[in-house]
Amino acid sequence: MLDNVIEMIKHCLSNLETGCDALYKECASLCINILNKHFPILSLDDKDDVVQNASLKLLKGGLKNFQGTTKYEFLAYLNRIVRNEAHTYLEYLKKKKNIISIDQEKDCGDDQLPPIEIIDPDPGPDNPLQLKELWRLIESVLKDFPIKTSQIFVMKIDGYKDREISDILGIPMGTVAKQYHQVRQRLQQEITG
Amino acid sequence: MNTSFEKKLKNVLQDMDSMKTPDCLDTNTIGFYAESKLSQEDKEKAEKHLQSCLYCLKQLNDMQELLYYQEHKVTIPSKLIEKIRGLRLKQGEKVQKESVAEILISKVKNFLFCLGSQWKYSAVGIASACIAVLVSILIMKPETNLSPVPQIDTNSFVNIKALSHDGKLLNEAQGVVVNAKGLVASNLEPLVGASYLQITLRDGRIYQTKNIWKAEDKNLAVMKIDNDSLPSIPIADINQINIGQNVFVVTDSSKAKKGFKESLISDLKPMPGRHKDSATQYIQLATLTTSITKGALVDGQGKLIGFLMTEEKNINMVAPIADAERLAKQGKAIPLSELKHSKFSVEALNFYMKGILARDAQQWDKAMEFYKKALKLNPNLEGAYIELGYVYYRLHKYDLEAQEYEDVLKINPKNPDALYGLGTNLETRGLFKEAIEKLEKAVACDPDDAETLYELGLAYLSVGQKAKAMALYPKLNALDPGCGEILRRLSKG
Repeated sequence: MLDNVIEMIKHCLSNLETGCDALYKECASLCINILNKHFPILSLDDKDDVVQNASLKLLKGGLKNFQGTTKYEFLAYLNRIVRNEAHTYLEYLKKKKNIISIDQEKDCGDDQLPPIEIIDPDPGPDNPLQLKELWRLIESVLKDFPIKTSQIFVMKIDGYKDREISDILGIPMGTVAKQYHQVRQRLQQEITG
Repeated sequence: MNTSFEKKLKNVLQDMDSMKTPDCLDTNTIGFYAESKLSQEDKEKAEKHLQSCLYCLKQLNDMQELLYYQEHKVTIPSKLIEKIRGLRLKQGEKVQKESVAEILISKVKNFLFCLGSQWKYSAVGIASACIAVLVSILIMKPETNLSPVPQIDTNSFVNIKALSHDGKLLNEAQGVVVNAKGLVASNLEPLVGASYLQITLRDGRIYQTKNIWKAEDKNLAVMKIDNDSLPSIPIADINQINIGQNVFVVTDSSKAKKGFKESLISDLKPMPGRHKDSATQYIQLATLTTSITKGALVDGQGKLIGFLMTEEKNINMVAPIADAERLAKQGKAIPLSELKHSKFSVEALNFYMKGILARDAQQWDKAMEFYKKALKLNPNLEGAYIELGYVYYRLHKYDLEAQEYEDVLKINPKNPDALYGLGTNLETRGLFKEAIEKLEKAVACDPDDAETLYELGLAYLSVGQKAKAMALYPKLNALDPGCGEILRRLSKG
């Protein structure tokens, strides 16, 4: 566990040869989980490479430069490193093979199949001002709901599947679907007036 | 799902960083909030902000996801670990190579030089070293326990004799008095086949019983002595137990130091099935260095944690002692004679535990194989059905999942975990009325389980019974204020 991450980092930096095992096992597990969720396009070997690159980054100054004091800051720091490394790796693959689109890594947001792309007659807001208005509207609607429900809504539009939301937030899948539907219905009413 | 609507909303989340304001919560506040570690005042402040800030909600989700990943580790291929280790060695190689080589050469040089020029001193030195080694082997006894052993109340440890109907001794087991009202816990396995039990206290008092409560999937037996003033052992708070903590297996409470075997907690296995809280179902110990051990597990202060339940090497699982009192609350004790025909087998228990380890590594096929093997050997292993149900849940096979819970209810209609699992399964499938029936039964069996109360409240709301949902609020709020508040708001909305 990363509860005493600062001690783990100190221990690792003081003894690179044998003092890093615990920290690296924790980090590798987290990296693989992040890659499995957010970069499913990467093959198993690719993921291994990204984990190694991220580990190397931590070793080459990443740990020394870490300014935080808690496990939360370390988790956020590691998350950024892994995602950056994965993006860099995808760019490299794209250049190498020239066939992979980075957009493919994004999840479809549905539970079974990717949605069929249909030309949308009302493509929605595309300029920053409209986006900001919609942002404020969502925020005003979410004010009336409990925080857990708002979290479900944000995760759902962020592309998480019901099962994943249920696991991460610790709520049954039935509840996830039900609460998302409540917010969505309310938001649609607000948008259509 | 209307994808174009979702797409519009998703666009909003794309340019997240530009929406950050100076009032937004920092990473630590979000982390502490996610783990419910903020003070009431700070929590209210954080919630006030979170209710109106999409940016912070997204950060909170990210943090909860990372914390979830931290809890649910994936198995790292050994090849990858070796590669990472290789990276480290490459980094440290330069410095290490030079210094080690230099030191070694100088040491050898010094040693040879010393031997040649001052051979008399060398001979005396070697002879003294040999004498010291011989003295330490022959006279001094090695200290086996490096950590100080805990002070335990030995009076709370009892001897349990499993006797046949004609008084013949079949087996002996260690028991512990877990509360002053005379509840005694022990391993189940040594008691199987007995007609009655003879419990001997340290002060010589002897009691007999023919009834026990049992949990085959925990190798746990609980019995009651009719005496209200027994010396009971203090119980450890399971929420305060951490991975890496030093603990002691009491192999013989009468022997001061030799009766303890030191170990450490290597993992805490959470509840299976649809339970989402962090309740620990089993505690795993690091492999004990010597032969297989059984007995009570205590912490450094001598507080009882549970009983070591498995017999297979490398699977050292402990059933938390809280389960003993839970068992005794669930119904009447059964006569020991019923156990004579029980198919309880330690081998089945070992397969079950292997299944839990495979489930933990998300190896669903392997887990399923182990649970099925366990059930073949002991069809009454309720925990294995529930675990199997969980595997089907993870594989989205909800019909099969429900079947497993129903199988448990055929054996034990009051199993609260099976009732809860079946209730939430039916809820997921939209069968709210049936779900309510099961969840109501689960609440009746285990009235203090916040999760079951919350689920029942949601099920009531799904069929429009707001008053019934609100009636659950006071108790739920006392057990879990977070869930209570959600239920209250949903009931009002």
